[in-house]
Amino acid sequence: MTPESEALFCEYVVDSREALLRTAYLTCGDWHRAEDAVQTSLIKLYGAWNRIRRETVDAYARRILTNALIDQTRRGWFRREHAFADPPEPPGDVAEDDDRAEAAAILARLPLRQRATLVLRFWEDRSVEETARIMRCSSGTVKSNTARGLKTLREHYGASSLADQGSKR
Amino acid sequence: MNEQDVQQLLAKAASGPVVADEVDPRAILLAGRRDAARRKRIAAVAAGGAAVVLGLAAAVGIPMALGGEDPIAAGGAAPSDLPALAADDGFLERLARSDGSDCPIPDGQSEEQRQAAAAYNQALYAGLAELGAAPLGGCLTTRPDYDGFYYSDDQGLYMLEESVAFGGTASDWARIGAAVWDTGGVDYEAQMEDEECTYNEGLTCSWEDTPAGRVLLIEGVRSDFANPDTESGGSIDYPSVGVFLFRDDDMVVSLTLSLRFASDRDVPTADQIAALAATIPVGQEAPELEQPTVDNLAADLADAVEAAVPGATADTDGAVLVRLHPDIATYGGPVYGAKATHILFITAELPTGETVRLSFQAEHLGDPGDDPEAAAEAAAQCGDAECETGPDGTGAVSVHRTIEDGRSVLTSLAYSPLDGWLIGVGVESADGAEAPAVDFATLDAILGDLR
Repeated sequence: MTPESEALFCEYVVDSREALLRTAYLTCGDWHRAEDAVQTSLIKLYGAWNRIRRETVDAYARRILTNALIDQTRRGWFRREHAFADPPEPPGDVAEDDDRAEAAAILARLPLRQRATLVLRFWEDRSVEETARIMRCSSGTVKSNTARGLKTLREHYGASSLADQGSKR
Repeated sequence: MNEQDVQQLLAKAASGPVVADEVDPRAILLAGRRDAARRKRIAAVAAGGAAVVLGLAAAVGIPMALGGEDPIAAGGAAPSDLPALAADDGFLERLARSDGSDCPIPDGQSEEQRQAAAAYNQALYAGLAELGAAPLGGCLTTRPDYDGFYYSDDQGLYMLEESVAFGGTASDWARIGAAVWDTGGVDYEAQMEDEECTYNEGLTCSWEDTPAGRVLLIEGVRSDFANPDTESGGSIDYPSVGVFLFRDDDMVVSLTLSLRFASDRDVPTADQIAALAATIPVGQEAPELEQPTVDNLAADLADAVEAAVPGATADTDGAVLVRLHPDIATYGGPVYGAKATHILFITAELPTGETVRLSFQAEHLGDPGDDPEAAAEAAAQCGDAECETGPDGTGAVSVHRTIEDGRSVLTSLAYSPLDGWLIGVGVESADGAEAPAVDFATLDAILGDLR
């Protein structure tokens, strides 16, 4: 890779890392796993950088990231000391922290692929077809994962305190 | 719950500070350069110097039909002349089983119990892997034997009885017993210490307070059956290490290993077993069970190919999973396996533009007998091909198979005598008879990524 390409790659890493970390966290529920998956994915992205069209790099990065997270689970990649833990945070609003934890707990009820589908559809705002390409599955699978994931979310969201807050808006 | 609610839920979960600086672009750059250099070394092309790329066949995958012995048109990425049957119902579930075997699932488990058991299994086997242990597949023949953790109505607890092998060899193995139960507030600490430690002179017990709870550590020698299945050969004293973790939520996790090591390998310590017990996600709501699918397996294969082959682009749109028809032996094309072999096909394009077909095949051979290499060669159909066979350094048997019958197919296979599975990754030209420019080192890398 030329120095110019590497500079562009580094610029992409800086510009996209926060978004990738949040997407990865929403998908796997653990900040440390998310960080490792993002780093692994960006290293793979480096290897493919010269072959990717700039307009599709975001989708390609999400494909690598999603599959890296799924691969972690398939291999039982399970860091005991970091299981479903938030990173150390400065003292903040206790109520906000509780809401965040409750939201994360609701998402944790979903199997990984359903969660990944909903994150791509509703957090990343990807279409069904884009999501299918990123997750390497059919549009039908995306639709069924979306439907099943939403059904599970409804059941647990409805029973949570977050639903009460939502109804007050 | 509407779409806006979903977005707000996601936003709420992802809110809070993110330490993005931990993802350092310079560190990624250096790692990427090292990775690129490593791939160039392992993906050496047999001729021409061009890297292999997987191309898209643009064929629509045919849904997996279930059951029956009537031949089907495999379709999709599979060879058009392949004698095929529908894949067995439950094959993918068997392939994904936690203990690498096909012991039954007990009847009467609720969905919640199955989810909890699956979550316990994942944590346990992941922790055992970090200790160098892998499932030693096999089912008891003299009494009911189930896969991993299950809820026992009779005893009112989750329990597990499994065997694992250490260091990739069945000669260093352990019998594991585990349980998770709700004390209902009853103090079991004194009772367990009394039962485990008072009457077993060969055991040493101690207590330790940990963040996960109070732990009874038990080490020493314990009498156990030489053959846990038939109980023949009587009882022998074996090294034993175990723990009882008494959690603050009135739940107890017990984990005991009866160690049968032929070598002088270090045995797990009580502290390591205590740490492992603490990882069992008791009291956490388990995620819904996700069934393995053809899409998932195809995606895994595609990712492994792209990781091992610089510039490769895999296409899973035509992914198809079939079981080989008995006519595979006589149809005049490559004999990938036999009637019990399941095989998944996808296609890919090389940077050179060559389209290749990749396959992932799997068959459960069970007990290898006295000669695992012979068992692997027979199942790999080496009688109809040229094979190089030998240990792969992980305890498995490696078979490099070259078929020159009709189409040239290279396949890297691995047979694990521990769990009895023979799996393999193969490559062939999608539109020609000549061998594709992919070598066994590349196929080994892909197979290693999938194992």
